[in-house]
Amino acid sequence: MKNTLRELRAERGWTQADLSGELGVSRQTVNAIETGKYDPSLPLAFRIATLFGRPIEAIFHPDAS
Amino acid sequence: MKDHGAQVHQRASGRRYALEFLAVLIAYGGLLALAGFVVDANPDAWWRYAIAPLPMIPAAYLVFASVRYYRRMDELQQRIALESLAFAFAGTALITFTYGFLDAAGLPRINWWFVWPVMGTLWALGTWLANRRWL
Amino acid sequence: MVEQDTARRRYNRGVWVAFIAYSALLGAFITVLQTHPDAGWRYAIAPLPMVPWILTIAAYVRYYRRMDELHQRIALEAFAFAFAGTALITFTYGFLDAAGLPSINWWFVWPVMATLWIIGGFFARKRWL
Repeated sequence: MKNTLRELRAERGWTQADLSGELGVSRQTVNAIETGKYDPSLPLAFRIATLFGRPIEAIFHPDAS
Repeated sequence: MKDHGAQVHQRASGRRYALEFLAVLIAYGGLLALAGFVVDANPDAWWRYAIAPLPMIPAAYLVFASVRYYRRMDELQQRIALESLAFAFAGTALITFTYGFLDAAGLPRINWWFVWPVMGTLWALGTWLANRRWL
Repeated sequence: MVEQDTARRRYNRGVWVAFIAYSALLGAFITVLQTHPDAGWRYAIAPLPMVPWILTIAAYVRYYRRMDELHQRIALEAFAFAFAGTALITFTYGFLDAAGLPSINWWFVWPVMATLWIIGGFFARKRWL
């Protein structure tokens, strides 16, 4: 999965630590999601969507492959 | 964004685990000395087999504390923990079974105590590999 | 999940092949021990029966990668359970050994691990499925 988490976070001027605090996960986990190494669970994806006030599909996109 | 609630949470969980680990270490050391003393003083008493494993009580508690700590981790940390344990499981199976053949061929028989150092080392190695994969 | 079923069948077949190869190598190992009980190279050939099991682990990893995410989770939890149980049991027996019970060949660690793996798999399945 690709995602626009890094851009959304930058728009708000948050650090990874800020975002991890909001989501209740570690900073490393935020980084792994941003780099696309780790796809979050559905509950976590919904927390992200709610936090940024956007639907999940506006944040996460399936890989082209 | 002043509030880093989740991280405070995780850090508190980590601190608690560290304290429990320390307490377990102390209890383990005490019971180890006690059991060793009692068993040495009564080398032929049948009940020494009940006394000897006493240090396992704090060790077992550490397993439960670890499960509690695991439940406080976020989902990726849990995944990393599980993968490292699975890696260590496979490695331990290979190494112990291989040594079984060497034992049968004539190498000295080793106390099962020393299985844990093998497991612990593989676990650390597995954690390193899983961290590299995900982080 | 047709693909997952195919992967499981392939893996199961692989385990059978490994078991047959292992039995043959085990037989060879025993024969060598009986015919050359003092040869120095017996330590070098002793681990040979492990080769099929190493290949089996590689096959399991391939199978694991074909599993869906829930089955991967179940598999991992079963291993973690077995890891913890094995550590507790082997370390406990270490104390009993020190107190006077006979030392046991490390061979028998695997039956302990496998039993705990099965129990762990049962619990993990019950939890998720």
